[in-house]
Amino acid sequence: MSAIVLKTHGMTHVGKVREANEDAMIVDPRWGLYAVLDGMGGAMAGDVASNRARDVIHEYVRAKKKTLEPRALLEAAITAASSAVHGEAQARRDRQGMGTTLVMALFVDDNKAWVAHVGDSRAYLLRDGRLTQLTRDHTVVAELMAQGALSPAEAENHAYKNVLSRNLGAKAEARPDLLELELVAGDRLMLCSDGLYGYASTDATSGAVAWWARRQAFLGAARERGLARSPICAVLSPDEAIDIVAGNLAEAIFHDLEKSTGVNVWTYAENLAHGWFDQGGAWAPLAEMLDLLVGAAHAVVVAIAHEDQALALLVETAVQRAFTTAEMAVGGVLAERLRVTEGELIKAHTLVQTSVDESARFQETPTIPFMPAARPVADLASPEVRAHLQAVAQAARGVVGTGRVPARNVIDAIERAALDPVNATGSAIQARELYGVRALEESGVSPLFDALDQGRAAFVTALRRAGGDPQIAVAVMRRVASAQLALAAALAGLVVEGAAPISERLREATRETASLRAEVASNEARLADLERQYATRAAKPSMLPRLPRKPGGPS
Amino acid sequence: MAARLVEVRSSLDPGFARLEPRAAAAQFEAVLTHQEGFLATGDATALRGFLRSFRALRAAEGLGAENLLHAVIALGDVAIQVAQRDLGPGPRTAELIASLARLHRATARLVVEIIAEELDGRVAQLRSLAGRGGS
Repeated sequence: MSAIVLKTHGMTHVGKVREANEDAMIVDPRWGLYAVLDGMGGAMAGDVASNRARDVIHEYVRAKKKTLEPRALLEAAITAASSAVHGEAQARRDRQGMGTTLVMALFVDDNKAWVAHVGDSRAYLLRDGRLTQLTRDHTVVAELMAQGALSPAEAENHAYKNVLSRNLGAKAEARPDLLELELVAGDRLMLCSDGLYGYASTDATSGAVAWWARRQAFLGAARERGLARSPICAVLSPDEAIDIVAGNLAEAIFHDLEKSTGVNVWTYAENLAHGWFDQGGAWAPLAEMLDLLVGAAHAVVVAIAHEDQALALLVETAVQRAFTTAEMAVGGVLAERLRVTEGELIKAHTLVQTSVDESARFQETPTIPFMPAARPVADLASPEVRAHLQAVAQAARGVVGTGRVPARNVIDAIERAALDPVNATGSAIQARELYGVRALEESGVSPLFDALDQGRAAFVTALRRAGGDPQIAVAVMRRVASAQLALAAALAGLVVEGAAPISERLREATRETASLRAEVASNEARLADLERQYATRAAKPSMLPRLPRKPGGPS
Repeated sequence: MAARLVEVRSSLDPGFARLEPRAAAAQFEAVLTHQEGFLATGDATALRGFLRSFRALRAAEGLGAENLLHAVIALGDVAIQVAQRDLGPGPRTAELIASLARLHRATARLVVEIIAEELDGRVAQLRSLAGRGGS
């Protein structure tokens, strides 16, 4: 393939509303490096974040491009940039909450480029008249769509479609997506921020302008309500508390209204929560502070309502949605901590189990103390729970009908295991009965696991239909879930057990194949040597048989 | 609203996606009924209790805490979209949408509160285990 001549161009514009340009870019043909960064989250800090990240990435690539592989180089450069922005945000109060998106392209030779991105800045490829989006936005909705939980049409209309799930600077480490790209002559690669592809409705713009015009009233209301007395602002002076905490939020709300997104408020709230919880802060003061800010925003809405009722409703809706986004971000941080704590609980509980009774390790006891000790999963069910469980199992059989025998068998097995979870061998016996005799291949095993899923789904449906006391319903659901998991684990064990001889034969075959390959390689080497010897001898004229000349041929 | 929620349930979260339409409708109606009660009375007790049970049921299905939050928020969004689509522009619609947005935020707050309480409980359990020599 012939070398491609690269032509590049970069442009950025502050837009018609803002005073500062929060975008930054790199256009460096010498190092084959191009990037667009869209800063966010905080008064005068969005541009700081994007510029800082840009400088770190540029410097890193110049220093390491010759020594690192492209993937490692990009990952390391982006992590260094995220760490730098995060460090600066943590060190300076007026920059807390800042972050930036990034999309970059690194050309590694004439026909190849790597594209990396974090956030919702995008790369597009124009080839043969077709424009293709190369990057997938790191938004909550886009990630749900990638998991198949959301259709493109549903995502398009989702109110939180632009809430970022990743950005650069919120945490010290970054999780970029990378893509290697083979280029052909005529390709056009475009890197851009959402300022190019995004848009806002007239209503949103009106709301944004109205909000921004009254930001001082919002700051005043926050001051009157005692924002500076919040424990979260303990290390700030009263003026700093207003400027940084309320000021950054006012700006984040404005930017989100302006672009019909939730990204700035999300980033603000997520960073605020991370910072506060990292210091050991509790949730309650953060919730109180958000309530206080909601109150301050409401005061602004009331003031607008004196002049224009319709505009006030518009702003109020937007502000409420902004604070809903903030709740979602804070809840996300808490949920993440909950997951981590549950992981630590598993480890700690395992240690306790090990240290308390070594011989009891393989008994069927709950490994994760998710419920208080007073309500262990593996106890004998109370009469009410047993009765409800049996009724639900009966209803579940009705849900699957008479045709699906495997699913009905699963329901029977789950019911027996759920009624008697203490019996350690129960699940294994039930699993063996269910497994029966079947071929160890997909068509033999898959229906069994499908039936397991159908049985569980039938239980869930029956339980929901049954209604009744929620506590009993929860107890039944927990027993059913535990029994189903135990059955699934026991069935998986049977499959592994069944596959073991085949695995051993496969290993033997692999060993034999390797030995045969070595023999073939040795013979090929011998053959090549013989051919070489023959060719060497054939090249000596004295050893060639003299061929008869054709009449009229060359002399 | 419940009908629209049933239509788009696969977009709300994986737990709803697995439900049959009738079962999904029953769950959405339960959420909306409790929200309606809260909107009418201003008393969040019943809604909070309902969300706790809802969380417990979904946890038993293996769904995480953030999952409930996303589901409730997506549910609120659909409610607002339905109001905008069905009622058309006008002052009454704007008022209703503002009310729904307030309700939406309050519901999100209740879910966050439940997650925070759950986290506190786990942290206490962890401390208790550490006290028994677990870590």
